Amino acid sequence: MNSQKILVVSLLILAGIVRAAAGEETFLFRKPTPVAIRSEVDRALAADWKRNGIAVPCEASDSVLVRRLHLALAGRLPTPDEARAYVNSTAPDKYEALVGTLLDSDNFVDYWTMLWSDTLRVKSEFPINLWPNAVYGYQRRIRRFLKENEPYDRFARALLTSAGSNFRVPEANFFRATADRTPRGIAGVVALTFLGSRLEKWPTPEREKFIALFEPVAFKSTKEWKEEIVYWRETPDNSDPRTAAADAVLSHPDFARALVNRIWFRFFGRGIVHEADDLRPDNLPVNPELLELLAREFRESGYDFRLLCRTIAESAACRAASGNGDALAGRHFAAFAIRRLPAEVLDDAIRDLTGAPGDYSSVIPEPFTFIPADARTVTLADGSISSSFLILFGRPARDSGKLSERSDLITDKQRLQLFNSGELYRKLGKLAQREDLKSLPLPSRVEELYWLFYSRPPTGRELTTIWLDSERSKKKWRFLQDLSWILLNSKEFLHQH
Amino acid sequence: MNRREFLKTLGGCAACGAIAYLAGRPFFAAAAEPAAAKKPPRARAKSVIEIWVWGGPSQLETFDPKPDAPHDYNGGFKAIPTNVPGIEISEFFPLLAKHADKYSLIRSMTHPYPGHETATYLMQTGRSPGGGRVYPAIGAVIAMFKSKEYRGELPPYVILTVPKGRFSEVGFLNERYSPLVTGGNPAAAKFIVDGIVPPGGLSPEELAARFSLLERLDTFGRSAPADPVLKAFDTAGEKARRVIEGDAAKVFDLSLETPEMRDRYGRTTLGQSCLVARRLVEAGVPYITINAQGWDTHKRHFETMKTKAAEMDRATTALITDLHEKGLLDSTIIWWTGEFGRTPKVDWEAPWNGGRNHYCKCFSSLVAGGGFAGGKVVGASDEFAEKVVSRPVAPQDMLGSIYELCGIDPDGPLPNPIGLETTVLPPESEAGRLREIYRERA
Repeated sequence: MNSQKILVVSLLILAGIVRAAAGEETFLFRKPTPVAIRSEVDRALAADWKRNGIAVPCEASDSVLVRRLHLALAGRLPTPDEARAYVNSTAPDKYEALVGTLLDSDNFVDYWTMLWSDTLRVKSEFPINLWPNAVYGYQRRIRRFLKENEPYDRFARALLTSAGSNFRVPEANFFRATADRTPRGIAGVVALTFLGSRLEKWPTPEREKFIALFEPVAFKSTKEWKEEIVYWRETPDNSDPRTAAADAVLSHPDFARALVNRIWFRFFGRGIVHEADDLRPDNLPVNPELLELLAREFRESGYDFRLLCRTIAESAACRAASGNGDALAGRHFAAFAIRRLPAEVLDDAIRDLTGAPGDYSSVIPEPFTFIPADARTVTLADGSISSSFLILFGRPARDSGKLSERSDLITDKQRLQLFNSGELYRKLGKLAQREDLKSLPLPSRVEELYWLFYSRPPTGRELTTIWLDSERSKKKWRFLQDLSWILLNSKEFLHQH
Repeated sequence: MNRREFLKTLGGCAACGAIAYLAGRPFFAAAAEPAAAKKPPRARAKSVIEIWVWGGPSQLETFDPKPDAPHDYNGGFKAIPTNVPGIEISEFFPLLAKHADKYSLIRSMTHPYPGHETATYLMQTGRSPGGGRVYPAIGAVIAMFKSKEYRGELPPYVILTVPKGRFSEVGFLNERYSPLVTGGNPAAAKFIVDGIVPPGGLSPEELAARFSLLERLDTFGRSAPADPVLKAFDTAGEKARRVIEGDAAKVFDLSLETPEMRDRYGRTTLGQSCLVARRLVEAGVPYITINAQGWDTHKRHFETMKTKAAEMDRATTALITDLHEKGLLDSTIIWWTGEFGRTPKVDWEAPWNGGRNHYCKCFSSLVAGGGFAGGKVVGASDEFAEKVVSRPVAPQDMLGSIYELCGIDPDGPLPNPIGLETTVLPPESEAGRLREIYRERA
């Protein structure tokens, strides 16, 4: 070791000791202050915490919040610049400003189109069998709903009253995207999608009445390859069966409740009613006031989906620090649930870090499909286009539209893949070669890696550990690869928290 | 006329395959006696090796030769005797012919799906495609049932070396029963198993150093040590690390075998995959699939068979005899099949130039070990290997026999996380499971 290096390392270690002494790790992930209670929603949460003897949680730290908001609203990690700008900002309304920026971004539209496409079962292949060009029509229609922030009731009505060719009327694919096309099967999908409930658990008279609404739905093929027409048979009294079906769904008391509960689940991995798409009288909400409040606000806003996302993102539940395994606090949203990153988001994160695109394939011919190398995984329209990585990490099959299709389970096979896959090794090699990193001096490069993976700088203790270790390592390039491997395999990177 | 006689009468009829298939569907089965609650059968097999002859092997050039048929059918190729009097197989399999006492042949496999994806789904799940659910493949089902007793470090379902990729093999079962797909090539200088055998030059010491630093830098983990998600993450990580650093990875290290043993299996991807499969059986892995590629011989069928059959003959023979010599054949099922067979009449015209197409009405499979008797033939085809003339075997009968010998009741419930009430398989067909070739217990 030459003298200059000794000096650098000593200074770094010293800086580390100073920072460690300042107790920075204590408040790395949470602020010392309790989360502020500022809105109706917050008051509903706080009242419920008080009833259940749960202390008001601390607020999460800025570096946690900037990462959390990007993941929840935009389905991606913040860039180091975005994270630094947020952490360093002293604006009192920086949180709300970031929520607004993200809600207006294309990433929001892309990510939520993906989540909605899970619910609405957008896939070409077995057992949904939309086939490629109908998939794209349908998915673009969903994207338009999010891009234009179309009122949710209008979007739902458009799907429920649709009729016509799958190629010309994208909404008609809602009825085609049902694995079981009997009136019972279609009614089951409608109940799950718009009322968040399982038709088979309904009392028989209501169930049969609901099924009857969809008796008129029928399908016929044309001479065009894979074209199919959804039409409604005439009713005996010549009334419009489409209006009757849509009215029944939209006037149902669970119509707004089911939606807000599902979106709440998307943010926290748990519904106010849980399972989040199994609403029924004997499955009670953990916080009924909260559910009613959100549903009422949603209705009164004219079913403004983006406003609902804003309300949830700005709630105390979304600003609270993650917990340490307290199940009661978790159930009542007083601790943000730690969850593994979704498959597509992880795939995109690895691509963003390494610049190496994902490798997708489809078992069926996709004659109209070209996926540019820089397309993000969350923008894949077709659930049938996949990769072994996405399957391994629990991407939903889009067979039923149930929330449980997406798995955030952690398996040994996933960890093996991340520890030891040749493909990932190659990608991490590319990370070490990134031009923007190569131009930096070594200590800054370490710091930049932390921002890239964690949206925060390394702590003093971490720096000390890293530098002591790097001195034992002979090859500098290998050491950087080691470090990126470690960050990639860490809990902090692989989870939203 | 009772139902069995009814079926016999149909024996020679052209629609026999389809009818036998239909016989397994609930409509026909409704007439069957209700199954009394019974306890699962006693397991005779600990492991299953599936040799998936991908694309559909010709029944004529494997186990149902027709030497007396016209040249347009047999291409001039002959049958050879085996070491069991009365059983002849194709001349393409001279090594396997010497060991017919160790395996049995099914010459009456039949189902109605001539497309790769639908036939694969049916042969792997026993369920007809459609109906809105994706059922799990046999490998995932056996992995789930056998996980109760299996204590190995490797996942309970391993695929060598590439996935079939036609449908989600784990179906609606828990993700942990999905297959570990090795990737890599066991016939290469080093068999790189994605995720298990570390790539490129990382020594065990370097790997250990990485794990150590990973632990020391776990600032976030230390902030929430009691979080159940993070604890599960650690448990999965420890398991994965044991696979990488422990003996489990050695299963894939073929340098631990003698050169003579490696030669015996043939130095091909298929041959060395069979050798790895034997090592996986020794490690207790319950289900191993070898996806043998290149059997979809629409064109130049006979030329292809010369090389494909030779490597298959060597690999399969080595696997059966090696397991036999090691005393493992009695507890290991070998199941050799394609998703279907091939058209008996050869298409000599361009561009096929002597090709055979997909054919599902009548094809052949092989079973050995794990409670299956050797030296038997089940069913028969007509003079052209076009129609099943006796004892049709439907996919669910074949799968049901394997389940039964693995100690799994095919008519029993299939536990699943989606709360679906279903049995492991649909009811067996009229002709039923392969009980006639279950070995007598000693």
